[in-house]
Amino acid sequence: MLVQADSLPDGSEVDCDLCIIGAGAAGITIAHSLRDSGIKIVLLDSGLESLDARAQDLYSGSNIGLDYWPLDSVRLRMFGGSTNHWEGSCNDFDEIDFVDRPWVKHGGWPLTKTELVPFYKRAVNYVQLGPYDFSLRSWSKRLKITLPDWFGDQLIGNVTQHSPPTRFAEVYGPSLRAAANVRVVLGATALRFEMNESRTLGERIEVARFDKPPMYVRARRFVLATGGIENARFLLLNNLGNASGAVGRYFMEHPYFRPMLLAPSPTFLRFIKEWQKSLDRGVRVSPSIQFARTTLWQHQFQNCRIAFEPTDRFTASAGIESFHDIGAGEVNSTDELLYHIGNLLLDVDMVAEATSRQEFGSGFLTKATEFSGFTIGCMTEQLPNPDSRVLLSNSKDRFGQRRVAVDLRLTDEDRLGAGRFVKAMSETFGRVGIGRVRVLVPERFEHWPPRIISYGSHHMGTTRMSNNPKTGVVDTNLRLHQADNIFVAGSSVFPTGSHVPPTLTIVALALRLSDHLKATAP
Amino acid sequence: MCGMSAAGALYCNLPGVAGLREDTDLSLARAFALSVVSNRVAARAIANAYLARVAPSEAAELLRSLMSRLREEAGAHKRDAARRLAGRLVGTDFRNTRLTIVDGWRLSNTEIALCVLAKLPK
Repeated sequence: MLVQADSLPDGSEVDCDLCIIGAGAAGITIAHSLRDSGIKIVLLDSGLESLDARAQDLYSGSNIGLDYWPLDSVRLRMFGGSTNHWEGSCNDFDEIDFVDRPWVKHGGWPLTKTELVPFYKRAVNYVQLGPYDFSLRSWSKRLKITLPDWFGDQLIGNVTQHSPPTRFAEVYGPSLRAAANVRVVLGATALRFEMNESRTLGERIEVARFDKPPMYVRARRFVLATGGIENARFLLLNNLGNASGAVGRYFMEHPYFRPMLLAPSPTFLRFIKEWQKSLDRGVRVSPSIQFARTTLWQHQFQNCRIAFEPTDRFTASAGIESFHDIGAGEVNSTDELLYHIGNLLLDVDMVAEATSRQEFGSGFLTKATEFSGFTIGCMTEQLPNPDSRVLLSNSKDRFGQRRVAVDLRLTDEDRLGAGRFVKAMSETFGRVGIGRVRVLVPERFEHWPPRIISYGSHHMGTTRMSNNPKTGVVDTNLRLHQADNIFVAGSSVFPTGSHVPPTLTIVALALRLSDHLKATAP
Repeated sequence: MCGMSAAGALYCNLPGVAGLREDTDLSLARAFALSVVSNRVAARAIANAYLARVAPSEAAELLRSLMSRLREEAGAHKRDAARRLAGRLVGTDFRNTRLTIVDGWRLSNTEIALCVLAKLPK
């Protein structure tokens, strides 16, 4: 069943076994996997089936740290949540992401990857991917693409699988509506937890409606699934779960930057062209390269993955981005590497030269768009930092609740690691035969122009998982340390953020939580 | 021998070259470079970028190093052998981090030396 909160009678109190607050990827996954389980579920969402300005305004907040996206454009508050504008890239986390690495302060998960694998294998179906396999080697074999001999101790190849992308409300809404034990209530903004006297048990939630007085949901258990920023906001507003002081802290994103240009070797061009043919045939898998675990451990880098974006001479010379298909121009001999590099050096100030010669005719454009190599994009792990955080501002929303403020910060280790990574990768590409790299940024990260860095719109870490209630917000079952019947789902529970999009891991953890809730149902 | 180009003049005055069998070694190295580098326009661009940024003594050392390695290889100027040899030398450079940065490009010392040699007039 799906209802609008405003349609319920005034003073309604809805009773259930499990109240899930937030109908995004995590909340819908839990509700969907527990449908027909006999557990009576209410799934609340502040938004409606389509974007509503009143709901979306509740996401407005302020950025008080590093320059970041507006908080009401990087998230969608509606049925299906931010999956409604999700781009669809999926990876699982690497094993090293779960391990306590000596150079990563506040790192390590209280779970191993092995424990999460069974849930990753189910999660790939939820986001409509192929098999649970992110190995470049096995996908190359599957697609009959020749894998060069670049990979071994230093480099490994992975793939990103691309979801259609799955719009969770669209795909799972019908079965949720039809499920006898699930009631979806939209336009329902959870405001306040009412707790027992010792504040160890949640009893009911006060739920605001847009045009009517509040209603209430009473439940035996609750799951908070409102996203990496909003989960923290909700707990801060309710003064809940914060004995460790960790709520809102360790806010992590995925810094993304394009610091390098690649003049490819013939082998690389052949490899990329074979992959391009697969993509053209509709195979939704793309290759990426990263350092192997031994290299990360040896150099103490944070995790990072590399993607290759074809570029043209105009882009290469003027630093302006554009994309086009891999053009003609077969590279037939090794010395053509030097050809590409030499041409790019000749075109260092192409725009100024063309301006002075007034050559903005078709000849200039033809020359400008000649394929000239690849821009290397790097998505990197942000190290957990307690001073990078989500807080409450003094500004209030329509329901009188303090809005959120995000203070995103990078540490010196983030900056130094990125600089060292760029240097090491540029040398490694030459060493293994991928090509020659031009580094486009100064050696010192703090001198990098701001436009170089963007972010993945991934919000992680603000209600981190830990076995120790002094250092975390939730335990390994995602239960608040402070309250026996309140759980948290989503990327806010990640102790570290890896270097890949979080959606598949969000869904895997949600399935794990769902199994736990079913196994321990009163 | 050196012609009147700036690069030629540079080459004539490279310190540290004295004492080697200059004519033979230089001819061999140049022949080697021309066997490997087919696009002299591009090579010139790289060489110019490099020479504009380094002291002559550093450039000389780069060339001496390559010439020294070539002296040990018979038939290095023959095209196919030269290309294979160049590949080996470049690979060794990267493994031993014998690299030079030219306008942001990470290139092996062998590649830079080849470009400088290919730039020289006959």
